[in-house]
Amino acid sequence: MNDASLPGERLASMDRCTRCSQCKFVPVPKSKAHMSACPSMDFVEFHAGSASGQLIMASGIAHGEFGYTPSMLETVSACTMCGACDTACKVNFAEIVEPLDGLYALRARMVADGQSPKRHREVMDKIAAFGNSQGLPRSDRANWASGLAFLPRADILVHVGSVLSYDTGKHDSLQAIVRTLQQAGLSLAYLGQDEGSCGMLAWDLGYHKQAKALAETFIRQVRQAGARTVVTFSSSAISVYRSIYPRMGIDLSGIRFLHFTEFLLALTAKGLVSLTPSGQYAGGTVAFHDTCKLGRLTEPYQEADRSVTKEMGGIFASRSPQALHFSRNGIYDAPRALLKHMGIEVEELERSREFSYCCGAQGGVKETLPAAAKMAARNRLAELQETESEILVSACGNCAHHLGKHVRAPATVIDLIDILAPNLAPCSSRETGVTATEGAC
Amino acid sequence: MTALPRGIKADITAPVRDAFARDGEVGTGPAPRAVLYPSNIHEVRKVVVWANETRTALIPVSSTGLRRRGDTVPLTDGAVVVDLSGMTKLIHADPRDKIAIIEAGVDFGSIDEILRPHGLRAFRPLMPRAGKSVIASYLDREPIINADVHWDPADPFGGTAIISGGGELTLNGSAALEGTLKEQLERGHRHMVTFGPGNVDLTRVLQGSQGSLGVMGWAAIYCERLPKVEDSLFLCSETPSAVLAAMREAVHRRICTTAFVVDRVQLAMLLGLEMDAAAMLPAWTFFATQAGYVHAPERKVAWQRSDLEEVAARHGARLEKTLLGTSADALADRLRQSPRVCYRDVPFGAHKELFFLHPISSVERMLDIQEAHLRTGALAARPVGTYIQPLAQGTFAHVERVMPHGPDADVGADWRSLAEASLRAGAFYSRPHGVARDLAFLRDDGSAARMIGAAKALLDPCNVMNPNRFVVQEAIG
Amino acid sequence: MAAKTGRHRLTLSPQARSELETILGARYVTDDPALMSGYAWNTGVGKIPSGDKFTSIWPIAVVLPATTEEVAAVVKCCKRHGLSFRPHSTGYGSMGCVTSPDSICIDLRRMDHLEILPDDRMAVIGPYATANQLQAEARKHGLTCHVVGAGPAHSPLASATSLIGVGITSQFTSANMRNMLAWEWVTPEGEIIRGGSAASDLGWYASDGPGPGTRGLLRGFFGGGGGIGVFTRIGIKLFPINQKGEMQTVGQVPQLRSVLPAHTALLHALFPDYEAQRAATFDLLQDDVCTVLLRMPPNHIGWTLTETNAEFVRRTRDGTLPEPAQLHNGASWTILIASRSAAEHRWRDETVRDIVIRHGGHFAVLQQEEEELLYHNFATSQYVPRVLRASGGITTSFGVLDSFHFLPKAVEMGEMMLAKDSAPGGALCEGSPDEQWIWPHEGRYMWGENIIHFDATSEASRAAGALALIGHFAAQWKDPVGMTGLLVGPIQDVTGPRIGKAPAFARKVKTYFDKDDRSKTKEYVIPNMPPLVEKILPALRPVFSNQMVLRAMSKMLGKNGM
Repeated sequence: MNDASLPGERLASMDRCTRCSQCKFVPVPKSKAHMSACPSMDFVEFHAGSASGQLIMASGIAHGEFGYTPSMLETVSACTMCGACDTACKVNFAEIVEPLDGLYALRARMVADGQSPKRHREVMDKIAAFGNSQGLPRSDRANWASGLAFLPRADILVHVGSVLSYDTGKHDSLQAIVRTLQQAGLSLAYLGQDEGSCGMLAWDLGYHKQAKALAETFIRQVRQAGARTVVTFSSSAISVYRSIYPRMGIDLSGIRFLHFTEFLLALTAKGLVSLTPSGQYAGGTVAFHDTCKLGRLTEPYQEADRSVTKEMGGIFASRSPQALHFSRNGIYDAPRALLKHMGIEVEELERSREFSYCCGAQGGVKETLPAAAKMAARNRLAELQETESEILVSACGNCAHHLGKHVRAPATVIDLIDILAPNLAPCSSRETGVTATEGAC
Repeated sequence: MTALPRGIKADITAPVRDAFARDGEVGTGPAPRAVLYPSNIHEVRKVVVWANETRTALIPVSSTGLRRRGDTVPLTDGAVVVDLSGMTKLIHADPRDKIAIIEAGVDFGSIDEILRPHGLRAFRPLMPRAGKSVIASYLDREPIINADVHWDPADPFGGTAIISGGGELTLNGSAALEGTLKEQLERGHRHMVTFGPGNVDLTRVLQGSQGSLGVMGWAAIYCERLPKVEDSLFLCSETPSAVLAAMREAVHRRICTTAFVVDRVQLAMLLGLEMDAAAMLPAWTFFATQAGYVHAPERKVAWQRSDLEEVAARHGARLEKTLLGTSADALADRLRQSPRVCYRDVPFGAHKELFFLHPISSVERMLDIQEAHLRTGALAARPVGTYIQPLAQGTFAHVERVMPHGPDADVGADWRSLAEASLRAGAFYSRPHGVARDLAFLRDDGSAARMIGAAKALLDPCNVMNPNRFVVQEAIG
Repeated sequence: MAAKTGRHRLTLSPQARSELETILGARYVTDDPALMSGYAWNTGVGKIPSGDKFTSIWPIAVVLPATTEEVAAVVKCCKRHGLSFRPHSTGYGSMGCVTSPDSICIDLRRMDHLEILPDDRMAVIGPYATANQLQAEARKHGLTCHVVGAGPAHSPLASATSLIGVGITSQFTSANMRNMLAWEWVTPEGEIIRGGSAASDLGWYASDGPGPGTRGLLRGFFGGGGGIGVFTRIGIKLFPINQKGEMQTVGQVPQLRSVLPAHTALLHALFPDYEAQRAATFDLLQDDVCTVLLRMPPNHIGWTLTETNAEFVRRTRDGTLPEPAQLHNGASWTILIASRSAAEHRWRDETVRDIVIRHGGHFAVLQQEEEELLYHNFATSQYVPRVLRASGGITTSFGVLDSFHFLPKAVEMGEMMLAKDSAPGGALCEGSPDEQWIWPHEGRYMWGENIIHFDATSEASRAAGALALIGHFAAQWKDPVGMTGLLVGPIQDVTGPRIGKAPAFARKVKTYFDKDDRSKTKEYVIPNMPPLVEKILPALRPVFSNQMVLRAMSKMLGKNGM
């Protein structure tokens, strides 16, 4: 990698890092125990583990200060690409550093320079061969849908995602929810075994070309299915649809992407489905884990001139301030509202919404550095101890699975779909006066 | 024997020299061979340079009257006392910045008089005797009773001028400026900063050194504006917990100027009562003064009073305006008087004192241990007073136990026993005087000895300043 | 001991590495250049980088000790192998960068001890208990800590022991050099020394004794700057506030705001000129009527009140920034009044208003959101890192510590240094004619520092920044505006006897504890200086004050960094 291998603007942004360390902390910590914003820093401990450290390493490579080293590759692998650094940095620096874009650029260059860590390459090989990062057979991908019938073409395409598709423990809930939707009169399409990776992980690992190819394949499938709405059960997928695909120059016109929590909430509001108080949890309190992908990383990417100009003798000003990412427009409220509909109180963790702490499940860390992923999960679960709740709910199958693996009794981690499934019921159009198509769209 | 430095007033008469061979607490030491009376800081420097050249031990003394605690009694033969008590100039006073610059000989008996025309008064320890040098008191980190403005043990010092043991004139804090002091003042500088300059803080190093590192010639000192309205109160209870809690909260909230807690014995001494009267006083009293200086002073004192009443009620302390016929305001006035004789000596002619630092949060436990010790020993029948002065705005406290006794009473060993028990219970003897001179270092992990050795080597390489003042120096030898 | 590589880098000998790994575990020792790059990044508060932000000198290794004993063992290991070291806490402002290629950077991140003792309004902290953590824990007890001018992610221990310690709330939270209580220190020889009550194992509350306040050997106005060993634990004073518990933070990134607690007001007073402001200040300092007073230059208020630079630039140009952010409104105080009772608040509020009006001032009309923004930034000191937002490059002036008598003069000197170059078309970033941040300490004296705001990507702008910086020293030598605070490193020696014997004494301290100069830094006195040079340096002041020399030095600094 040489100076020219990073876009000049991006390198300039990296070079503007002042090493203030704000990227390591949530902007207004509520305790010492949970002040960290950065699982990677918590694991690596040297400054290199932080966003600032990674930007400086990228700058060092670009400026020829040093070459790639095994330690650097391992350090970069510890980053979950959760974007908490970006949110924190912007409190100080708004448009002038943009760490997350720097991290995306760094990983892309590592791939371009043939320096992607071996484990990352292995993950990509699995995605290429099997359509999922776990290397599980395509033939099993649609097992969850056994007994359900889908239309080859429909206005709504259901996307499940790689994690839930193969998580047999979630299949009943998944099926129950989809069946309810169909009972409510919704016509649904589903890609079945042809559903592939959404490209989020490929993007996070720096394989941007492959991510784009996956995206193009998916969008082609959506158009072939005649769908105008994609409803996904995957937080990675909703994140990549809204915040990454638009960067790729793919034509997304006419397609709306919804997370299932948003979709269900809308259907509830329209009266197409109803949520009854949860027999098991109603009247109780749960804590909610904001998944990075579903929350701050689902903020829609706006096509705009993202460069900065130098004004007033050296003040770096965004040409499109309205397009800057401040983690404001992620999906935070829909899952909380669904829980409320089921009579469940949500207790906020110290680090919630845009300041949520990554559980370690994303960014390839789980696959590459399991110890780092485990530490992140344990750190996140420790936050539950500050609450009255023993139950941590996540609206992301990946997070729920990962946290569930590391939780210790009496605390438990529950996937939101497992709470929704038994309490979701269809309403007939006679009762509501709304047709399924109206309701869905 | 080497000649004394030229041009400095000196006295070598036996009575004068002998007066420095003992003080009110320690027995006779070697008499100094002379007493020198420099009249300004340049003469002080001349004396210190001379002492370095002649390897003469110097004992700096700034106070007059009956001294105590042994720190001005020579520990070596052939020492020369440097008596600064004649350096009594008020160099500058400024109500706008609430600061004055005084020489080392200005004492508590006179300072308020000389500051009054400038609308100021000095921060004072608890009823200091008249002859006590203000600078010497502050240098010894003697606690001032104004807890609200005691931010740090360096208070109330601003910039200072020090002659180090090596004979160098050092300007410290914001006194370290271009030009003479007169020129600095004319330019508008007020020497309001004590720390620094640069990487060292020699004022702080000199504090607590008991004359063993250098001599302070003059100092800028923070002062209090003369209040327009002042209101004092006794907050009383039969247990220490109520008044300590009330005091701590009041100090943390900075709604008092003067704030301290005393028991009935100590209060009796402060009020000038016979010891027998102590029994009629409340067991514990938090004495609080509230002051308004400039802005709507009545209204200020009124809300502070109201808040203090609320604090007192919450912690179970009762408010009294008068105790045994003496009003709290009268005690406030009394605290600003400096008696010629130490108030602790008034009841029986002599006293023993024991003072140390301690967290306020656990003072009660310390008092319990001390009381248990006193109850079972030979001092059981004697009155022992307690004075608790919050420092650093209530971060910790100076705890003082005072036992008035007759001049001939043989109580030294028992008093030491109390000091030892206190040490075991966690007393931090930050000022190694009297009975604590050696006890202060018994728990030291070696750090204090090492750092005192360093300070001595760096500031007084010829060891001319009050040699062997600290027991650890004797060990260093 | 160590082999030389290119670019001022040395490699660690296998023996030294093996010993360090034995002390700390291999995971906590690195000499990987990529992992060390974050410790060779010359930027942040007060720094002027070169075109390339990497320093020319890199550490030979970076280590992560977890205990004082491990620090001491690392220091002794350095001694055995003829290596130097440099402690590093949070590393803001590159104060943790090494200054010799044989230096090990001791990153203290793992030493984050934090214990609040609420009844005694203090905490015990390690080097990586950051201000934001300390504040979060303190607030649970109705307390806060002093946050210095590096923002909430800094190390209070580092500020208290090793750097300066001033910060915008100093009116009620003093400064960390005065908030430091008992202390623990690893000498440059690897001894562990404790000060105050900690030396007697009696807690961390008392800073001095038994006997002399020997802490004064190790820190004055400026701390050890990494040049005199490693401080590993201190007691630190906390300050009661009128709210217990978490800050009620509202708003969205980046404009986080905090709801003002009951009996709290945030006012912005504007004065017709600096003489009026000075006169009012002397009144505002009486009776402890204000909780915090801060004078920020108007453009910095503008940065605070706008969410992006783009918004700031746009609103500057179209004139829609609120009154406090308009350049002609420099004579101003942002005033925080934090009371506990209604009666107290009424007295404070009315008194402040009366004083301001009496001195010809008036109050800017602030929207509630603006008030909450300013309050949030006051309470967290988030202001300070945000100062770097505009261009990513600031340095700061000498610092003034003296009576408020000097307020107009400090502003005048600030203008003298900046006005030409901060005007449109000047070499610095456009801004206020002076950029003095001014606040009072403990109701008594003034702190002022002129922020020099340059374009870090332009050599000419960096040189102009350097010229303004060193120009301040030259101007101060000629006509002092007060005690010069930031006399860091060699500048002390050039300033010479004017500041007493401090550099000479500090050098003695350095020699006494570190005769081989193992604890290396440029932010302490020059070690081992021959007495003749010590004497000659101050005599060179006229040379250093010469405009041509200043310009030449500035050019050099603009090119090579500082």
